[in-house]
Amino acid sequence: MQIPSPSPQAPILSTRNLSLHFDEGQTRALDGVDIEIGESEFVAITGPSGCGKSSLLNLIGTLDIPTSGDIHFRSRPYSALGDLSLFRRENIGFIFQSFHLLPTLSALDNVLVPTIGRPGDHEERARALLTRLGLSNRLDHFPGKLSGGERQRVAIARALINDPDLILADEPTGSLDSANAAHVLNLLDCIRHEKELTVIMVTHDASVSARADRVIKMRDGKIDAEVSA
Amino acid sequence: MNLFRFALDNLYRRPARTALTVSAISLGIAAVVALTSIAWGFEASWQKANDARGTDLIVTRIASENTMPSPFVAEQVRPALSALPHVQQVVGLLSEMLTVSEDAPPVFVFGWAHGSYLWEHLKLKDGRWPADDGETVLAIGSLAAEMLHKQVGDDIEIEGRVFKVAGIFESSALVENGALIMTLTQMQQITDKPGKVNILNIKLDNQATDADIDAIKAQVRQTLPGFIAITSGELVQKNAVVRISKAMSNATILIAGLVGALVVFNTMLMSINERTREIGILLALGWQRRTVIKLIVGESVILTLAGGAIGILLGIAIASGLGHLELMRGKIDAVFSLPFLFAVLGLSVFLGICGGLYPAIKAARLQPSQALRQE
Repeated sequence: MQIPSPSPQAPILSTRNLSLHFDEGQTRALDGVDIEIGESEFVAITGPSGCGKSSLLNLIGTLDIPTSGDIHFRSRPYSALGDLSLFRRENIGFIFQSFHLLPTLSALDNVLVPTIGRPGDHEERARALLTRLGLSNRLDHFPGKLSGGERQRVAIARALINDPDLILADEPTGSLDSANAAHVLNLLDCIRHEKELTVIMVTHDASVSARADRVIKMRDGKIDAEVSA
Repeated sequence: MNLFRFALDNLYRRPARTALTVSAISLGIAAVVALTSIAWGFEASWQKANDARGTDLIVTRIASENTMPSPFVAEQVRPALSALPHVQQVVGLLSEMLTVSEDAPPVFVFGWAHGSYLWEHLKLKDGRWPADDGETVLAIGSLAAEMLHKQVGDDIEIEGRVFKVAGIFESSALVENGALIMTLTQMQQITDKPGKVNILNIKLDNQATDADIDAIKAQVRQTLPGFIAITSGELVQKNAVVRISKAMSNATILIAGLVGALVVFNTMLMSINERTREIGILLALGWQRRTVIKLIVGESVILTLAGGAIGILLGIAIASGLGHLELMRGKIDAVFSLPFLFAVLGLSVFLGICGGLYPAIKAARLQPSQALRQE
């Protein structure tokens, strides 16, 4: 269920009047957000804690349901996609701040988790991805035996295993020291260019947002400003 | 990496809980296997004893549902039975379970009409058979001889009368191997039931067909009010002990099934409560809800299958071990039927599905964003 692009100029993703409210509208995590993300674009979303960055990422990633508004992926509204988990598996890769690796599985098996239940042999591809990310000698290591940077590289390989077109990264360098953060970002940058991936990254780090094609600044659940590189 | 290996891994990483759950299920399954195989063994043993004697029909009181049918005066019905077509022999049998030694559990004592066909299927290992009705001797089964530590020539006191062991025999039926057999007349005297028998065994000639047997049954019902002619299999089915043991095994299946399903339900519910964030990760990574259900139900089926397999082995060991206990020797000969053991494995799978389904659906319904926030 990989959704093809209707035209190179069309945005890969757009939201219209997107809102997410809690407590019967008392808490407004997102309040009428309109954004457009182009194919192969690298967009950083910044803003103070609680401004709605992660909520926006969760809605784009179909991990949450909006209170109102629409999201379109390559011109198709989410409401028309049917099985959202299938859409998520085929089109979106997630990278989380705290890695979210399964502690009892090796690096290789963690990368293979998204392929469970999917036909075909994915092991060679997982090995190739981990090798590409400099982890060829860590395939059988468990997350507890890996450094923070290595864990995040495993998470990146896992996000890429189903060959998605959109990567959603929530503070991917938030748990890493500056050297590891730079290394992870360099790798992500290379792979993004190689595979022409669209990346939407939530970050607090100005050095990370400086790498983006465009920075969307949020405040109080709304878009505060957009800055292009 | 596949779903089965992932499910196994999830169970392996919680060894204590997995072991406890498997133990609880295996104990329930063991109880089911042991009780059912003993109940079937009991039934089969009586059936074998009746079959080995070569009896075609048994006449007894209609209301008799005890271990041995209640006694009646044989001569009330014997003449009428002997006159029926195809009837070759009508032989009385009187039996009771009696204590013959303070050191041994009670044993079955049979009184068989002297010189009748009932004696023919027994194989004499040592000594001889009673010479006539008046001789105060008996023959004992090989297992009874072992249990009572008796040999040919020894004395056995029964109901205040001393009998000499004339012979030791072997039978294909466990119930007879553990029994003492004397002539019917002697048995009637020591139990104070002169002229009475529990059942009359009918041996038909070779020309008798199934239709003839049905006709005899009908004639007995018509001409002998209060009596019934049945096959040995039907007699065993009427036996109160067989019926109680079957009812107990059915009750055990029900209770063990219910407890097993609850144990799995509890384990899986606790497991998914602890793994909420992990399930959120799986959903975020694109796992379909049905894959999550398959995983959780798969884990519970693995638990119950392991519990079932261990329980079957344990049940076989318990039932076999009980048969060797001094108190039970000669009374229990458990029957392990392969289709039943497969059915028990099937029951285990069913328990896994029942116990795992609700936790699985609960896990699959988690909102990924909320599950990921769970600590």
